[in-house]
Amino acid sequence: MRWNLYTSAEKMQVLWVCIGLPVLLLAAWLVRDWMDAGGSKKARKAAKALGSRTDEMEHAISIQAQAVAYRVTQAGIQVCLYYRLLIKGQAAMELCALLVVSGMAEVAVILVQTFRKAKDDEEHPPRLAFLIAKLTFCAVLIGLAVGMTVLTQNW
Amino acid sequence: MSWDMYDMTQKVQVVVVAIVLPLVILVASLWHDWVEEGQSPRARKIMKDWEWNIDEMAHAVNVKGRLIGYRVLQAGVIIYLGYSRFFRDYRSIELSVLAIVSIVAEVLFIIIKTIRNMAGDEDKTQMWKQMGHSVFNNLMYLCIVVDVFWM
Repeated sequence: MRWNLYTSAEKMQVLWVCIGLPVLLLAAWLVRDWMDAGGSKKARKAAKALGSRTDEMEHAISIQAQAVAYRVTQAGIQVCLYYRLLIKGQAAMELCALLVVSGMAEVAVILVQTFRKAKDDEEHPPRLAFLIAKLTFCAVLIGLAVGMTVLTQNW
Repeated sequence: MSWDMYDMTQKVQVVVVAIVLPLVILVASLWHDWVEEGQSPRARKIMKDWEWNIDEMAHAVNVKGRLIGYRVLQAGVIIYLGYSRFFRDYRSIELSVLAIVSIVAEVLFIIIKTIRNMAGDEDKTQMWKQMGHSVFNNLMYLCIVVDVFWM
């Protein structure tokens, strides 16, 4: 069924599944990760109040696993994007948007956190060369996705 | 242009761009993360040889950035699956498979690492509990992906 064939109640359900549920999940994940990391007093207090106990080793394992899954997903979405664009000859703006949004979120967090922490710790300024290398890597990924999408549209 | 309109050279180029390039990026980023983590003597040696001095704060910031990027990507996959299913009447098999592969990768990594680390630990109950918790969370996500796909 397509959007214009739904009744009003069905449209609400579809919006809930497509937007409400993922946003709720995202919020829950971010809160849980924030509590698990325990970087601030508030986070530690919330974790204690909720009885959420994560030992350091388990936390490190979980972070490594998430990093692996993140890289696999990023590469996989790129494969899907190129498959759709180059092999099936279809538009794939949504996949490109997905890669861009997640890459931008990563870049924004790195930039904001680096400069916030540098403000608190004036003795140790951020290592700009390292920061630029990191941001370049994210920019290359975003550029590859956007570049190919724009290129194939002009074919 | 689609696959059957390419000549042989173009097909090779497409395969390189669509498969080899993402694979190279995947391997490079996994290797980069492994060195940056610096948990094994080999990783630390590479860091030292390459004068790759990363302080703890920068590492923590990178980890946070990666984590948020990952969460956004996970939520985005569900939005995309829902959008293609309900708005365009199309089931995106590729993306569902991708979501399943990434969850399986995460779960396998957690299980293998926990079991390997358990060898030197006497109190195993807490570790089993936390591993079960992480695996359960990932399976919940898997259920949502499959559910949205089949709706």
